[in-house]
Amino acid sequence: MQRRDQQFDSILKRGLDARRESGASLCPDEAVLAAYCDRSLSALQTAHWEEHFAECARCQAMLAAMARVRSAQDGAVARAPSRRWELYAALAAAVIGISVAVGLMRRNGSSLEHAQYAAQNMAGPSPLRGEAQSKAPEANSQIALNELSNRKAAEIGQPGVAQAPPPPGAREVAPRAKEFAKQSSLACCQPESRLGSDVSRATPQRQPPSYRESRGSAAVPAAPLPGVEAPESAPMAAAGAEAGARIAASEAPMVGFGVAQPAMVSVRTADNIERWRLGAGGSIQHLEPDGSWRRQGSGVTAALRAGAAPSPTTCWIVGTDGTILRTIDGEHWQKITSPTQSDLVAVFAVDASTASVTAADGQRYSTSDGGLTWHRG
Amino acid sequence: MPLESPADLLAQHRAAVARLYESSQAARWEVSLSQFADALYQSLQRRQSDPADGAIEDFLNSLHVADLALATACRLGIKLAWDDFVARYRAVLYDAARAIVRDDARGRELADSLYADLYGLEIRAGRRRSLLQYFDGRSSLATWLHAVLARRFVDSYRQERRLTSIDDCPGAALPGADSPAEPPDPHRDRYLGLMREALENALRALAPKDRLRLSYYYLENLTLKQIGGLMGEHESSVSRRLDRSRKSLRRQVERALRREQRLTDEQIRLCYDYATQEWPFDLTQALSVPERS
Repeated sequence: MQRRDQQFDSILKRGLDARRESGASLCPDEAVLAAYCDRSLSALQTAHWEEHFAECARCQAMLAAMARVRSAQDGAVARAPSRRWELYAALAAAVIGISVAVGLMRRNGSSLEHAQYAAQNMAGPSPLRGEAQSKAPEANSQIALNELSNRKAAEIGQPGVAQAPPPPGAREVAPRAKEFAKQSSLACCQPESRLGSDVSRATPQRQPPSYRESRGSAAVPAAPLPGVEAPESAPMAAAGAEAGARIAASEAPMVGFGVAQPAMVSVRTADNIERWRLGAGGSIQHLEPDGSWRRQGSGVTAALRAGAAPSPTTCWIVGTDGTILRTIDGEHWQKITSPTQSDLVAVFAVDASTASVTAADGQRYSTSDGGLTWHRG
Repeated sequence: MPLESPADLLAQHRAAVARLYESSQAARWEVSLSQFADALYQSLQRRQSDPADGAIEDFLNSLHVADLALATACRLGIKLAWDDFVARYRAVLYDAARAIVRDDARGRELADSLYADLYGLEIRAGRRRSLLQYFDGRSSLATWLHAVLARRFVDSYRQERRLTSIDDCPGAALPGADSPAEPPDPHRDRYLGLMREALENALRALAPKDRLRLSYYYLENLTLKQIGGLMGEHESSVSRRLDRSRKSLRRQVERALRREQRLTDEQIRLCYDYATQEWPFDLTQALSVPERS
């Protein structure tokens, strides 16, 4: 049977090659190819061109070349050694801090004081320097401390710290969408995100013998960092590196009869008002003055994972495939050229020009010119 | 109201254009609002559709306007913009070319060959002609540069292949020429034809996207992750769909041979053996000339 499999593979390869044409005047230009790779074409245009690509050797060769470029870029990011130890140290600090908090609570019973102490010491290095940065972590920490205290209090039946009530006109936020950082947010990576060849190895029984996830001299990235092997680890890694305690806003809770519902990511401004909600398929909803939620056009179909709103009219959003969006009027969204094609899971913003984004592999990029240029760290 | 010119765009969507102009920081490159509007208009034209007003602004909002502004400034010959472009994209071009060609020297050569065309050394009718005029902002500038490099590499590679002697092609056989060895089985050609027809029919019945995925894997030798990146799929989804397509094809081929052609298991085995040893070679496809669109 294995011999028959191999024979069929060989025959299939020749049959596919025989079908392909060498390329004709119907081939798209570079702008269409690039838009296809960036997934900026409409669904109709994508289907139209894929029908051509399926029969065109020339287009397949060009797209394959572009895939190798992207793979090499991802590999360069994954292999960056200088970030790894920071990541490991931050992750270890976060895990130790939480363990201490839980352990002390259970042992002593004076849970509120110890939880606050542990949460305060979970803060890692700040991604940005400067006066604006020094204000945000303090406020973030206080909110995070309050929430953490309330959680622990709920566990042991004690009263927690009262949060400031939302201002009039703001709708009640669903518990699953609570957001604690005023200027940054964090999102869980969904299981479908691309994490490298480790995902393929995780399910070897589903692959036929002839399929392999790495080939020859292609620039396959090194094994993913231990801290980011599983989707659940990415938020922890990022949390350890960010100031204050931040809790993933896009957990999928079990509701009703145990059916998981897709969660919207909540984006709040400094006054703790939830002003935007983000979701899959490029979905953005905005809180209107009359208290209703209105959909805003994002121009993308990527899953939006995190947002940061330094003001009611300025907001940065990140998502899968390196998606970065920004609004400076609170209504219209522009795509910002991303420093990476990797999934972005966190964003921190000071204003319309200054922000930093974190990729699923822990790599951070910062800009001070509104995304015209980015630098690592 | 249909847009007939950049002035129409500016007149009917001034607020949106002004907002995008500010967001793109085009003024930093000394690009005027009307020049920026012209670039936006060209991008709209390339969509080859006539959308309603709402869709126009949605489309404009989806553009990489900062990149579009830089590209516009570069093709207008603004030195400041060009210096910035070189500083930001020189490494991008070299890295991309190296990844495509898999050779440092040749990669650098490929990247360097682009600069003159990007800058616009060629002047026609008093206007510089820069390759950047074809960038429309629907993708990032980096991805567009990758596409330009990929196209140049593939076209030059295919040009070299056409000049390769036929004698250098392994396994090639001219139509009508005798095979190196006399086939012992008188049914060999029939079995080859049946196998080819069955496979062709099965492939034709596959969705284009499934055929494309198979081509990436079998012909372009991409990894599952690379295929997933191109098609917007997770690696595990790519693996699953490849497996499903392959099984479906094999099932259809064997069903066609067994039920429609009434072949026995032994005859089907021979079909496989003969098809693996030899495949009908079509010279015409190998020698046809690709045309630039």
